[in-house]
Amino acid sequence: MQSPNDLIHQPVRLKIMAALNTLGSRQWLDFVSLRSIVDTTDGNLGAHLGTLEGANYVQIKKDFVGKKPRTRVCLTAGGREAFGQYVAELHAILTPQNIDG
Amino acid sequence: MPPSQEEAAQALREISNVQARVAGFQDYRFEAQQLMLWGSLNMAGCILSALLQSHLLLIWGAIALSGVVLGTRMACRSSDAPGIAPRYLLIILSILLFDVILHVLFWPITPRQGGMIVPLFVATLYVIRGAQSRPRYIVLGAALALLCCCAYWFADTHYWWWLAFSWGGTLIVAGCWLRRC
Repeated sequence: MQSPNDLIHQPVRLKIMAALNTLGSRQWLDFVSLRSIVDTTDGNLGAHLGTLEGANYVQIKKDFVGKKPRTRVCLTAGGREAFGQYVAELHAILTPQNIDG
Repeated sequence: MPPSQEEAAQALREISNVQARVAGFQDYRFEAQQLMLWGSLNMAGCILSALLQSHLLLIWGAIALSGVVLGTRMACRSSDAPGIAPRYLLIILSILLFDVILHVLFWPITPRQGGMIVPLFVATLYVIRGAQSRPRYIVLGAALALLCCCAYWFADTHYWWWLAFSWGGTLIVAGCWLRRC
């Protein structure tokens, strides 16, 4: 059986990918909201986002709203596909023939 | 090495939890904007009612119309869900129709009594919605009903001023609260 994507399987990255995958394509989520949903620290979230960005699973955009800096994150098409495949592999692990085997 | 069945099940549960959290988060964000809009409009309506008591119909007609136009535009901008504008209009127009029907059925009613219909109806809707899905709406509905009833029972000559804060003010504060979640 194929092993699910190790990059996504890490708990914090799994939450990040699940949260972003819930949004529509090209829909951005700001860093503060994502931190609140994932329930982690700034540093931890930043590090995991960096890893996901390196794999081209997420896109990060930094801009300003007035004078306030804002960081937003969006799932790329590749990230969405990888997450879909990851979920399919998890379901495959839980299919009856794999459970009995 | 592939994860065990227990780990796979745990990961799927985690995904489901995050999806529910995101849905709640988006719902609160969407609602927060609407609460602040309608809170501001209702507060303005109550203050104008206190100042110009002979023009209540005109004031509340203008408030309702502004709310429908601005609220629909805001709903379309903040959500890409299909059919958001018709659904939003259906909800708002149902509330307005409920208000009109109760006025007709129970006429004559005093402006003081009439001013309680929509706040109490909206409070009830929020409690029901909170019981079904998101608990913060129960707090909002309960606070709204309690404060508006206090305005009705205890504010004599300053009824509209009290209602401005207990009706409009509660919606604005609730909007800020939901936006921070």
